[in-house]
Amino acid sequence: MNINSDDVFDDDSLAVMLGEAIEESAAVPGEAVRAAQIIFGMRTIDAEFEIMTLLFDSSAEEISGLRADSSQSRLLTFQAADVTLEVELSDDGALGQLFPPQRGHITLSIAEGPFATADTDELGRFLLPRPGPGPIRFTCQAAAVQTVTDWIVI
Amino acid sequence: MYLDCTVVILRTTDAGAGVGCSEVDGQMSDTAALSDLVEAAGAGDQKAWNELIDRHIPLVFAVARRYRLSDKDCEDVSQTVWLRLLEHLGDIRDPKALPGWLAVTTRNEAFAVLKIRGRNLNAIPLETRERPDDKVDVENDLLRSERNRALRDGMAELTEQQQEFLRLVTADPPLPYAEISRTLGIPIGSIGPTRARYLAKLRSTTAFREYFLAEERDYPAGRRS
Repeated sequence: MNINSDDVFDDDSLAVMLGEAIEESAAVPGEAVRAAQIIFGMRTIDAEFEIMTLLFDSSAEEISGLRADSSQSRLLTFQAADVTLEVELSDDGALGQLFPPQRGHITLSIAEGPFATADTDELGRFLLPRPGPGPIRFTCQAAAVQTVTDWIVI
Repeated sequence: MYLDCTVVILRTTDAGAGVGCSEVDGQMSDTAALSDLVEAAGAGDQKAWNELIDRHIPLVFAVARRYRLSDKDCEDVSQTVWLRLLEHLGDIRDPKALPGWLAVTTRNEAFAVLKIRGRNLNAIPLETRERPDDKVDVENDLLRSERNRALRDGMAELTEQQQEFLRLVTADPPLPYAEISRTLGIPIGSIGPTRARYLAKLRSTTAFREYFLAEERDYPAGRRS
C-alpha cells in the first residue's frame, strides 16, 4: 500500500506503515543473514588480489520480447588495470579467455570456496565446469597477474 | 551524485542509475553510525559487519522480491551482493552511499537472474521488465526501506509488551480483536485506546523523531514527499 510518510500522525496510516516495516524485516530468511555473516572470514584471504570489475554482462542488457531466452549463453567481461577476462557461460561450462593472452591459472569459486581450476593455454583460453545456481567468481593467477573478479550470481 | 558513492566500484551498467544517495540517506546520526560501521567492518570487526547486514538486508530482499524470484534465487542474489560488498569494504569513501549501492547492485543481479532463468516475463510487473537503470524505483525502495528501518528502530525502543501488542494490531491480514484479546489477555474494549497510546509512544521515540520530524534536523529537500 502506498502511504505517504507525512501520514504518520494518522493512527491508521502509521499502523499500516508499521506493519509493512515489521513484515519487511520478517521476510528475510534467517539463513540468508547467517550466510552473509559467515563470509566475513573469507575476506583477508584475497586482500592481495586486484579486483576485476564486471564491465559487461549480457544478462544485464535489455530484454527483447516478452520471454527471456535462457538457452543463449551468457557473456561476461571483467576488467582490471592490466588484464581483461572474457567468459562465456553456457550449459557446457565456463569457456573463457584472458587478455592479453597468456598462460596462467584460473580458479572458479562458489560461496563455499574453490569449485574448479584450470590452466590457460598460450592464447589465454580455458574451460571450467559450471557449478549449480549461486554466487561465483574467477581468480586469475599469471606471471604478472593476481586478480579476482567481482562476484556474480548464476 | 554517484560520484559521491565512489568507489564501491560499480559495474558500468550502474553508471546511469544516479541514485540520489546523499538525498535519501540524510539522517545525520545514522550516517555517522553507518560510517563507523563501515570503517569497523573494513578493519575486520565481525560485529560491525553483522550490524551492516541486519540494517540493510531487508532492503536487499525487498528489491530482489520485486522480481518475483524464487526464494533460493533471492538468497543467491543477496549472498552475491554481500560477497561483492565485502571485497569493496576498503574502497568506500562515502558510507552514506552504501544503501544506494546495495539497492542498485541487488537490482542488477536480480534482473540478471530473472533473465538467465528464462522466466516468463508476463509474470513480472511491467516496471521491472525494463533494464534496471531508471532511478525512480530504486529511490522509492531506498526511501521506503529507510522509513521501515526508522519505524523498526523506534519500535525497538518500546517495551517487549508494547512491541508484541503493536505486532498483533498491525498484522496483515488484520487479526480480529477477539483473537488479540485472547492472545494478550486484555479486554477487547481496551485494544483501541491502547493502540492509540502505543502508537503515540512510537512517535515519541528517538528513532521516530529523528526520521520523521523535519524540524528536529535538516531534511534534504523532498525528503518527506
